[in-house]
Amino acid sequence: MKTKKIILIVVSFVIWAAVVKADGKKVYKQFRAVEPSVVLVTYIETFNTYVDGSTEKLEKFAAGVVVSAGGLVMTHGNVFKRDAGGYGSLALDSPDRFKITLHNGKTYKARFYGKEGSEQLVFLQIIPEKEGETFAHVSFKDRITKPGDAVTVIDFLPDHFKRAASFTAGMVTNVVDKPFRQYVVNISPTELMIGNLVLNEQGEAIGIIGLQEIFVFGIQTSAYVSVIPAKRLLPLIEDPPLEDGEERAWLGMEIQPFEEKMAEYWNSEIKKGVLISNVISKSPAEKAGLSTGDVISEYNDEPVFADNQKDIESFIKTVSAADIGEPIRFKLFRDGEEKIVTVIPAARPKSIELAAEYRNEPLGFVVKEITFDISRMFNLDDMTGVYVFKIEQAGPAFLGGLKHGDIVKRVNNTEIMSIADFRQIIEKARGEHQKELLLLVQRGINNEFLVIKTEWEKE
Amino acid sequence: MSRITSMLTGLLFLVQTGWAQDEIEVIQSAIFKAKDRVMPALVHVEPIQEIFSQGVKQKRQITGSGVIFHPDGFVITNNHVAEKASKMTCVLYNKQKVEAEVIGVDPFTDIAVLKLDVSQVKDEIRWAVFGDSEKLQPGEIVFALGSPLGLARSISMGVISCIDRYFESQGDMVSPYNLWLQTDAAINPGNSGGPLVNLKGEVIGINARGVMFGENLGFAIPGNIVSDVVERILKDGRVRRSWIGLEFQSMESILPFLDEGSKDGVLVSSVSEGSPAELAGVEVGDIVIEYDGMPVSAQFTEELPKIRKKIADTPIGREVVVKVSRKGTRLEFKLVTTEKEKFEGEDLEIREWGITVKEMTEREAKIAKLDTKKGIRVSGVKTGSAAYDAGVNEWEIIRTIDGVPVGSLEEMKMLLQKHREGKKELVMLYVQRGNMSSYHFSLLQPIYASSLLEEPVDED
Repeated sequence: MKTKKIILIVVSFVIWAAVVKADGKKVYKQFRAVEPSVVLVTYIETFNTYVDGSTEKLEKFAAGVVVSAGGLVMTHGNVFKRDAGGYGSLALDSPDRFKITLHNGKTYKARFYGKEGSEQLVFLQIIPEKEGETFAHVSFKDRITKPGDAVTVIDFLPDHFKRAASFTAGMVTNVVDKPFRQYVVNISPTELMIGNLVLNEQGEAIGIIGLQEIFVFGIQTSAYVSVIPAKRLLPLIEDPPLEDGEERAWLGMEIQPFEEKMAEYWNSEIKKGVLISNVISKSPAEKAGLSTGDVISEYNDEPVFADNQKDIESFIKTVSAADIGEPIRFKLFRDGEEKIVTVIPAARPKSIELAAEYRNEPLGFVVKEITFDISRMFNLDDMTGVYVFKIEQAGPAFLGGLKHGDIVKRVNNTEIMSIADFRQIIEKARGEHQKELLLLVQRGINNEFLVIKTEWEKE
Repeated sequence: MSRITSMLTGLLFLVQTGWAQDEIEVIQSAIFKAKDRVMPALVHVEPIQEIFSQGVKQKRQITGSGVIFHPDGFVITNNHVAEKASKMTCVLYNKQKVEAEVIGVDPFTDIAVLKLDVSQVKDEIRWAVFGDSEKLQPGEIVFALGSPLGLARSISMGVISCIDRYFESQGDMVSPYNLWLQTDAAINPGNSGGPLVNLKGEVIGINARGVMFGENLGFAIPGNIVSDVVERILKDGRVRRSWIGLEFQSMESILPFLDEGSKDGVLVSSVSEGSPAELAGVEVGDIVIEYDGMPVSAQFTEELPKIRKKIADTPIGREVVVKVSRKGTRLEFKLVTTEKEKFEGEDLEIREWGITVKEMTEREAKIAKLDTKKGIRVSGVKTGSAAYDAGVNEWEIIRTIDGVPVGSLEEMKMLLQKHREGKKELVMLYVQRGNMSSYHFSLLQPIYASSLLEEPVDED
């Protein structure tokens, strides 16, 4: 009896193992079929350290999928951060910034094509080496996917394994619908999984990996692998977003979600909307008469509302995409009264990245004009002076006591109204070989006089 | 102790090279004499501090040092030891525990005065005397007495390393009116408030600061500054100071831009908005040469505290003449001094919201660019509380409550009392986020559980 049982167990194990082996073979075959259209994207990210205003460049990697014979690559939004708001990392576009490596090791240059509205996906265009060159590409299939369905996720191994393409078998464990449809998969995230291809049991491309990161107090505590389904990808592949490069519209107000409880608190007739939490002085919003506490319920006759931060982001995107100078009609509620207000959007004020810069090598500093975001960041009274963006360690400006973040208000007792003033005074001092410069800087709530001993002939 | 051992070993080495036994005895007996004069006045201080952290009022016990300086049982310690103390226990040199009360504190010089409950003191009270700290010289032998890391009745020895160390203000670490005595006598956390003593057994400073990762770098408040502050605390319970709204820089800092022979005076680097000096017409870049009939001058930063002290010590509300030099022209301004505002605002715990708030000083209000003169800042949010759920954050400044501007903590307390009586269900806060010009509405639902509102009873 005992022997029989053992044999039974051994047999069943062998059969089970055989099934897995067969499945593995099938999956491997499916992987080999799509491998030529899976690519490694190399990109350069620039970090503003903001400790001393210096920047650092880092080579980074992401997974991508070729979606057209012409060489259009779909990849994760991380490779192109259009606007980091002046802090942390930036990945602004520049030539040579993107490289695409195919499975056979062949490397192409690529250019930025466009970024999808939710900023989750970016499209890159491979620059072909010869005319009429075509690329292996994936055709996505919009298939119904349910929890329990098996999936294969394509992946790149880490640096140690030369980032070779690989795959992992997994299972869909949940389907979530908010903020948009995604399939949660029971596999652990790896560095180069984001943006990579997902196949179903039949080996059809049903989506790509979009990582769901969980943050607690701004620190990432965990991450879940989810699948962005083909249904969302197909229209984008059909009509890829094209970067227009145009200026973005700006109204000059802060907004926040209008919660149900707030409607109750204010005895508001409308229950949904977008709450204005601050109107910036002299902005289009202020000129149009919008005020703090107003609840916007319609945008150009379309109802708008914000229940959460995601909704706020999408409202901001809508406003950003509006035509500059083209009036926007808001329906809003103020003290229980309905009002229609027309706002004429202006171009978004220049941000710190685009601010005019003046670099002085002999003195060892870089200053920027005071932009709107700098004035808000430092709570400045006005836009006069220049912002000290970078200081060379142990250079003349450093030794004189100039610090990153200082606002230079006067040079040699002349008030600095603009970066042009500043440049002119410094260049004049250079022409006259002035031995010392007297600066008045604003640092926090106080001022300080500094003397910089010049070394014009340093070069 | 190891320091003394090594010192003695050093002395023994000197014996071999010619020191006589009686000379060692002279040194040792001088040390004993000095120690014996102060040690009986040394106090180990154990306050229970009330701190407002993470949205709730909390209590914590810390240890520090102190020295009895008066037969009636008055004790000097540091402000950072005595501040916010709800209960104060002192351990005397004979290990007897005695309760004490805080008579007054001065955060600007980090000095506090306590009074022992003399009825509890069994033995005769022994007190220490002050020496003249102005006469100190670098190299003078000194002893630090106190409770380093809580180790009571410790003595360490060294020399005065520097008599005029200057420190810029750093956050809450301020010392605008004094220079520091630097010593290599070992000073550790817990030594705070303890005396620095010379070889005559006189208190010449109060130990207050050490340096993290630094060795043999201790700093004491000079005895003469301490005596002055203590006298004023004993008289008024606090130190009142005049303010005119000027910040200064030394002349050395702009030396190449000064005319030959005009190096006297002190440079005005900032003029506070709405201050007496601004209203009188003093400008940034002026060089002050005379204040209230007395010439003022600071060629180096080390001379700045004296000038600040001179201004602070002017009677409040007195009309003074400030003479300045502006681009070579002499100008005179008449102004009336006002009282310098207190170092920091009061704290309040709002249990039904789950936050603690702090009244902002005018200076902080100015940094935050508040329209009103003052504001109330969120100093902590309790996890899971009503305020936490409403998305209120630390460092936010409460601008209005239910649309009504709140200027002072008193106004806020009255409002909260009304809310409690009426069990107000929803409260709308309009907050400014940090120092940035960004604003937010937060709607919160207070929890009026009686257990939350009652003050916990002190366990003894």
